Amino acid sequence: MKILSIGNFIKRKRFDLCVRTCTELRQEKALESLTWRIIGGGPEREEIMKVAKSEVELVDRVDSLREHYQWADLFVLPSYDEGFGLVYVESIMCGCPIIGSIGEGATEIVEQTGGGILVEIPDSDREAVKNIKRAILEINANYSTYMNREIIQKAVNKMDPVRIQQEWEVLIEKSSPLS
Amino acid sequence: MTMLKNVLAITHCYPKDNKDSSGIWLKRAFERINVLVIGKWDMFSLRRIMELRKGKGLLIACWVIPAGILAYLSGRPYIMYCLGLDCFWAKRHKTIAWLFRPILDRSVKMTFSSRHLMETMNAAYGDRFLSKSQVIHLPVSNKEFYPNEDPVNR
Repeated sequence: MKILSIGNFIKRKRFDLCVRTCTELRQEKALESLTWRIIGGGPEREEIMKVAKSEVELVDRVDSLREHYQWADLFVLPSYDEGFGLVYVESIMCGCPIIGSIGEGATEIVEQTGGGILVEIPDSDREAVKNIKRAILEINANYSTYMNREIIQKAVNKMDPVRIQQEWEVLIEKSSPLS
Repeated sequence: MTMLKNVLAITHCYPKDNKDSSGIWLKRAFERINVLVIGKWDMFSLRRIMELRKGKGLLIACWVIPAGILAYLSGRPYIMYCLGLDCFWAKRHKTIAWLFRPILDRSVKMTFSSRHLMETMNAAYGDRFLSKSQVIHLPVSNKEFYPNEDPVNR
């Protein structure tokens, strides 16, 4: 299984949990093969490098993310303080299901498209890793439930730039002092 | 493409060129709206405030700081487009919530890029602004992420 995570290298993205999950899945030989790629950059790069060791592939920010979403079987980002998380939608649109944190921006995306699983990220890292592992194995076992054409279409419709521009125009029309 | 009249979006985060991805979604959402890109400290610029006060029509302030403050000082009607940090700060810090309050109060409408952000912001103010709140999602480029090939049979 090929897993992808994308984001700025800052604490709230919780890449540390990704690395720990990857290590444990390998140790337990829970998946036939596993490659975990993390793409990003930012202030905590050195720190992530130390934790990552040789467990995950670290890739600097890239111009085009599409080929990476298309490479991956699954997108994982257990971050907190995530207002929305465009990466989740981009991932689903490229046919890659997602795992995100409950009660964050990803909630709405998963609820409305069905393209992934939301996991609880409690204070205990051990529990958090356990939850992420469980979700990965569930998606691996029932892949077509979490990724199919209907799910992709829902994500495409939800984020359609033309529709969103129209929503803005209606709001502007209603709010304008000259209307 | 015809631009909308009597509306101006203000933001400090907007892509400088085609390679710049910061605020790219604003560019996609505001394709027909004129955008004024301001500096991070322009809320203290008398010249900028006077420039906005002279203009007419609706403003869309993206982020409370600095655009929301400028919109407030301009005396013009504005839609307050609240993004991630605005909402998390207001919920966590009472002083910030207190500072934001007059800016949110004076806005004609408030928009959020997700339900989660709308709930977070409204939780900070006891649902005071719920009736004028609306979610408008961030657009994702169909051309870039959903090309013609079949993503299921990759």
